[in-house]
Amino acid sequence: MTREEKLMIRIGQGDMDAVDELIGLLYPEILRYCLWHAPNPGLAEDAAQETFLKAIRYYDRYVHKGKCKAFLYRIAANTCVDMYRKMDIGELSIEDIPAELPSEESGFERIHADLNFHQQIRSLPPEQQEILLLRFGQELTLRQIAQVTGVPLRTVQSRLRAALKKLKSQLEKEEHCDKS
Amino acid sequence: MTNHDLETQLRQAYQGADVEVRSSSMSATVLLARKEAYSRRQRLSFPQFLSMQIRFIGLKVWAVQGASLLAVCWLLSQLFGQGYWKDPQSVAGLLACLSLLTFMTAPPFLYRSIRYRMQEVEAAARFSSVRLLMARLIIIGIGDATLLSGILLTAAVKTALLPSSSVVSVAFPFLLASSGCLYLLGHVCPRQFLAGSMGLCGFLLMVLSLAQRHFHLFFRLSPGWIGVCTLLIVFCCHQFHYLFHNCAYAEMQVI
Repeated sequence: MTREEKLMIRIGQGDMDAVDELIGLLYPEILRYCLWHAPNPGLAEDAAQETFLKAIRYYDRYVHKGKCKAFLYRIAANTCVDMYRKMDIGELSIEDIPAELPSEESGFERIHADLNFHQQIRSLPPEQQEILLLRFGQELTLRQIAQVTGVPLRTVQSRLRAALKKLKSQLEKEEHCDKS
Repeated sequence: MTNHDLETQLRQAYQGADVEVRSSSMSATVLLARKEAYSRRQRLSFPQFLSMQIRFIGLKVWAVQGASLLAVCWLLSQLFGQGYWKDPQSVAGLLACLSLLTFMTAPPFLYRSIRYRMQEVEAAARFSSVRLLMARLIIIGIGDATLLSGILLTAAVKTALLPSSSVVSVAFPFLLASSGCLYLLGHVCPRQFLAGSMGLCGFLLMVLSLAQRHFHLFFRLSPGWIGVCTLLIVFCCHQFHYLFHNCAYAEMQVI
C-alpha cells in the first residue's frame, strides 16, 4: 500500500494530521497538473485547492483499491472542466481540455519553445495530449491514467503508442528538413 | 531517435520547470481541508449511527429480552412441569403469551428517554429523534425476531403442535401488539406511551390467558389468518411510514 493510500485511510478514520500530510505530499503534483489545464496560475491554485476539498467531501465514494492518485486526478480534471464551464468558455469534456501550455509566468512555454516540442505536442489530438501529460508529466501508470480518463487500459496503451509514433515521425521529419 | 530518447525528452519538457508552490495557498488549502474533514467527521451515516446505538443500548436490550424470556420459561416449567409443553391445547395459548411477553420488553426501552428526562437533549442533538427512534426500533426488532425464531424452533422440537399453528400462534399476537404500540407511538403524548402500550399488551395477555384452551382450534394456518397477518403487517408498515415522514414525533418529545 502506498503512503498516500495509508493517509487516505487515516483521513477516513478522522485523523486530521493525515490531511496535512496528504496535502504536503500531493499538492505540488496536483498543482502542476492544474497549471496545464487552468487558464492562469491563480485559477490553477484554486483548482488544486478545490481538488483536495472535494476529495475529503466525497471521501465516501473513494474505495481503497490502489486508486488514491487516480481519485485525486479525476477530481482535478473535473474541477478544471467545471472551471472552464463557469468561465463560459463552452462545454468541454476532460478530453476536450486543450493541453495548452500554461502562461508565460509558469515558465513552461519557454521550455517547450527551447525543446521545439510545443508545436508537435499541440498538433496531437487532445486525448493523446492528456495521456502524454499524465504519463510523462505526472508519472502516472497506465492503469492510473485509465482510471483518471475513464477509458479502458487497452485504449490508453493504443493512444499512448499512437501519440509517441506521431511525435517521433514529426521530429524525425523536422530533423531531416534541418539536415537538408 | 529511439523511443527511450523521445520519452526522456518528453519528461524533460513536462517536468523541466519547477512548479512554484506558494506557501500561503498551500496553508489555506490545509486549513480549509481540515475544516472539511472536521465537518465530515461530524456527519454519521445511518449504518454507523445504528452500530453505535447497538454498542450503547443494543447489547443491553437483547440481554434483557433473552433473560426475560428464559425467566418466563423457567417459571412456567416450575409451575406446570414439563408436561405442559406436550399438551397441544395449552401450547398454542402459551406460545401466544410468550410472543406477547417478548413484545412487552420493547416499550420500556422506547420510554427510557422520558424516564431519564433525556428527551429534550435527544431532540436538540445533531442526530434527529426520528433517526434515534428508527435505530431503537431496529435493535428491538432484531432482538424480537431472534427470540420469536427461538420460540418457534423450541415449539417445533418440543411440542406436538403443528408448525403452521405455531407460526400463527406466535405471529398474530405479536403483530397485533406491534400495530397497537406503533399507533400509540405516533399518536399519543410520549409520557402516556408506556402506560398505553403496557395497558394494551396487558389486555391482550388477559384475553389470551382466558381463552388459551380454545386456541388450538382457531390458530390453524389458513388463508384467513394469512390475510389477517398480512393486514397487520401492512398496518405496521403504514405506521412506520407515518412515524418517519408525517408524524411530529420530534416535536412531541419536547411537549
